[in-house]
Amino acid sequence: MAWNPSRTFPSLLLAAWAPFLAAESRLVIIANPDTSLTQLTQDEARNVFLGRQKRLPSGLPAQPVEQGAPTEVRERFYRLLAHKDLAEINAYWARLYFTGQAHPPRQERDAEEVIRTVAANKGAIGLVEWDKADRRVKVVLVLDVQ
Amino acid sequence: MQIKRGLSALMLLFLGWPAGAQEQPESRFRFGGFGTLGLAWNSTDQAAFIRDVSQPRGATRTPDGRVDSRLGLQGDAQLTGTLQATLQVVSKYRYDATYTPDITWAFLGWSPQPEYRFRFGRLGVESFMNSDSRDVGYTYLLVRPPMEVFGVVPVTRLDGLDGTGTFAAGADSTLRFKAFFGQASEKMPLAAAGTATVLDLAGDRVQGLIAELQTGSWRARLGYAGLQIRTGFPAAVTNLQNGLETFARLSGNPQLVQTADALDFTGGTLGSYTAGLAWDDNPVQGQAMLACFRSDRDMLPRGWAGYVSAGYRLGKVVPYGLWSRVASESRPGLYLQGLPPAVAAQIRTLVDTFASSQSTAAAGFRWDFLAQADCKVQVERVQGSLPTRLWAQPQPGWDGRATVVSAVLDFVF
Repeated sequence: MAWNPSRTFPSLLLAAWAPFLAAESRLVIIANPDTSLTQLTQDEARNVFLGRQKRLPSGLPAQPVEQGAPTEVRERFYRLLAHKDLAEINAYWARLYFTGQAHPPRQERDAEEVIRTVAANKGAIGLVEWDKADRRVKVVLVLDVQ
Repeated sequence: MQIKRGLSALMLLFLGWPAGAQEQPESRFRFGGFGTLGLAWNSTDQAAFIRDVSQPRGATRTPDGRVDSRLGLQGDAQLTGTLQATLQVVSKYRYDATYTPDITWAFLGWSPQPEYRFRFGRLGVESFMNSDSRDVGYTYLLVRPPMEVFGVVPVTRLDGLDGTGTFAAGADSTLRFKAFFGQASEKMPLAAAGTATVLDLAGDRVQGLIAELQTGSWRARLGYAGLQIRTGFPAAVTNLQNGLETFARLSGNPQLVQTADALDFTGGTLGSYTAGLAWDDNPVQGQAMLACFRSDRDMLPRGWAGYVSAGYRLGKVVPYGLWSRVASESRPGLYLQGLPPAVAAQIRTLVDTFASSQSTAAAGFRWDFLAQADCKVQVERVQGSLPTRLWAQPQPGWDGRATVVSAVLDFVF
């Protein structure tokens, strides 16, 4: 990934906290900082990411954004949030997609792309690892480790 | 499911989309597909095992790939922020014993608000829980939707419209309402009056209502689907009816005239009232459904159908069990006295064929061996009444019992 000056400073700050973090980074849901959304519950996040709820509590149409790589992040996310394997999530979305009901969440290549999309779209909420989130977005949910 | 971004980029180039399209928030076009490669083997040669009543031939003691194999392709285009178009084509073994691809979905979707969606065009019919995804094996646990519920009614799509509303109901619940209305366009093979013919349902009216509650790991669903028959029987049956009517008039027997009238189903209505319940929270998943069929013609099914299935996930493998049953009400005794015995037997068979009862007990497993592909193996024991329309070419003297072994490979892309 290209060097990005806006990321360096927060990353350095976060590095100081590294010893206090669990072996795997915690997952967070981020939102656009310019919206009234300050907090999401785990239930709300699940309903939005599974396409069951079409609006955020702030009233904006929801645009969930996933992080495609590494796969491990998505895998952990759905296990925590919906108790589902990726195969089950794929089957779930295949049912909705091939019955013309809904599209799966937009998938970005990596955390940086998720952050950019969330920073550019008011209704977007994204999934990233906690240490990747920076000032361009706000954290609205920290997922329980288990 | 990975949508082919490369392919849509190629499509954009091909269509000469402005270069700025790469800055679009999301791709305008999506392509996807699904398929199943299957083999089914049946313990008896006295009847051919089929997946639903649209299949003219099926599996006997020679392994058969026609029952479950299929391939579907889908393309979507986001036309504006609220308008979207979808086209889906599926090739599978169908009523005329070919794999001629059929357009299964072709609609324009309009979503004025995120909660509301209206679709116009050709649409899958959600007469039962998940019945609109019956061709996409990758989306369900079993090898195929239970024949006793999903296989008995030959209407899987309509040309018309539907409307859906999805609402939050409390912290962890969502409610979904759907109404649909349109015309049927499908055909089914019919072995009637001693000949193999095709029943054409084109023009029959289809309508329904669904209410569904999703709360936590539970999903509960109530539904109604109705079919109004506008079309008539094929010539083989109408010839039989006409012959019977003429015979009845000549013999001056009013009871025979009644019998002739009872054979007609044009103008009749078939309704199904369904209740479904699904539970899904790792490692346990289960589904149960009950359907009640009502009709105002003796030739249309009446009775109930249902199934229960459950699976337990062990890593990438999910062993499961299934029990399903359709029980048709027995028909009032038709007055057939004075008819030539061969004609009386044909009429009796025709009427009883539409009153099939059957049950299946199955066990199997699904193995998610790849992120977008699974493999399933299923063994089922079927026990049915005769005559039946739930099997192809049932031979006289068959006891209605069979064991069927199936293996499928499902994939999506």
